[in-house]
This record gives sequence, structure tokens and C-alpha cells, in this order.
Amino acid sequence: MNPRNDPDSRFDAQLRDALRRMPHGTPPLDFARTVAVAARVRGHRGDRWWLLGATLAFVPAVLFAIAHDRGAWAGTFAPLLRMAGGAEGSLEWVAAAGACVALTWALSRLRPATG
Amino acid sequence: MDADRKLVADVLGHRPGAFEQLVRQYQGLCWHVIQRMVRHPEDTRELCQECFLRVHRKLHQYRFDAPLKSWIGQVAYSVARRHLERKRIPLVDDDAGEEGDRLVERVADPADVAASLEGEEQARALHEAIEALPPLPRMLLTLHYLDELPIAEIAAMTGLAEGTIKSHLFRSRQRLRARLQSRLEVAA
Repeated sequence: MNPRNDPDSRFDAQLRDALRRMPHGTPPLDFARTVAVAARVRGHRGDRWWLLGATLAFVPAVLFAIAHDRGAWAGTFAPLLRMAGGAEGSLEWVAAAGACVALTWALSRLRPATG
Repeated sequence: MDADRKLVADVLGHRPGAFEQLVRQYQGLCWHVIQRMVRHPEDTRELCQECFLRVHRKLHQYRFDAPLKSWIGQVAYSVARRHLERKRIPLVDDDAGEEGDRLVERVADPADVAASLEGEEQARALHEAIEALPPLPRMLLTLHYLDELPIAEIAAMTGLAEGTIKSHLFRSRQRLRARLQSRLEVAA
């Protein structure tokens, strides 16, 4: 029997044709471009997460180093110490506050653009 | 495989346009897998995008132990399956199994079914019958008959046994024929 004429082959051909003609069967023309752009944006946002990590680690470390070198920085921190009431742990308080400021700045850089 | 290696190297090397080229090459397969399982057009687009973004993020882990097409198909299937699980939509409809068995028993000579419906009517009837199938068999039919993927490749993509896939394909074809025959009987 000619394979093209047997019922199974005919039904398979009709099934194939029906599947090909079903609606929403192909992606829109701009799909690839849209996805490529989204991947590029997400890659840049990933870079900013590294910036956040570095900010969290580096900036507080610098601030604490400054805070513990009291002799060299005493003059700079004197007004801040007076604001904090001049308590023994006040330099550490200033360093912690500085870390919070740095963290707030880094998070504000990560916020996606609206619109 | 050499073409796959070059394309992957280009994407990982951030060659301009490389990732877009990869998406264009495999978007049809991804769309077929996800659209046939999920059906909703907006969800399909969103999930296909998620699939390719996941491919982009994990491409450095691809080890060329399978064709790139199979690996991407695997990601697409995983994304679609997770979406259906979140919505509590079963991949295979167990309740319809009994109804399907009754329909399958009633299939007459397939030649009668194939010859009796012509052109648009036949296409419309088959569309409706295919849409009535559960997500997994519907997707398997598309990969096998439309994308013409061998059973082994479909098995690698889905993680299903080859016997399970063959069983789904056989039962789906029988159910489609049975539904077409029911339609003929109603028309008569």
C-alpha cells in the first residue's frame, strides 16, 4: 500500500496541518528583540547588586577605621561627637550612621526607573 | 554541535546581537512547548521571556552534553510546568481518562473519520479536539507532529520515559479520532 494513502498517514498529515494552523502558534515579530533588551537590562541590574555588596562591606569598614583612629580624626569628628552627646561609644555611633547613609544611597541607585 | 558551541561562546562573550540570534533560532520551539501547555497568549509571552532570561542567566552552566535545542526545550518545559503547578492545573486529566477510554473504544475505521471531514471543517474540528486535550499530551503532539522531534529528544527535554511519551501520543491520537467520529455522528 502506498504510505501516503493509508489512513494513519493521512490522519497524521491532517493532524500536522491542524497543529500548524492553530492560533497563537508563533511568537510575535518583536519577541527576540524584546527579550534581548530585557536580558541586557537585567545584566546591568546584576552589576548594581555587586555595587551594593561592595558598598556594604567597604564603606562601613572605612568609617570604622576612621572612627578608631581617634587621634588623627578627633578634630573632624569633634562637632559630631558633641551632637551625639560626647559619649564613649559615640564614634561607633557615627560610623553606624554613616553605614546607614551609604546603604540608603546604594539602594536608591537600584530603584528601577518608572514609566 | 559546532554551531551551538560558536553561538554559546558568542553569547557568553557578549558579542552584540548574539543573544538575540539565539532567541530567534529557538523561539519557535520554546513557544510551542509553552503555548501548548499554558494556552493563554499573554501568559505564553511572559513565560517564554522568562525561559530565555533563565537561559541567559544559566548559559555558563551548559556543558554541551545534549544539543542546545534540548537544553532550551528543557528550560521551557520546566517553566510551563511550574506555572501550571502554581495555578493547580493538572498536566494530565485523570478524570477524562475514563471518558477517553470510552471514546477510544468507539473509534471506527480511521479511514471513515479522515475522509468524511473536509478542509476547513476538518481543521476546525481537529483544533477543537486538540484544545480539549490536557496540557501535556497537547504539547507532546505538537513537538512530535509539528516540530517533528524524535521521541528520544522529547524524552530528554521533558524527563519522561519514552514509553510514557509513546503512550500519551497513541492515546491522544485515538481520542482525537474518537472526538471527530462523535462529531460526525452528531452531524448525521
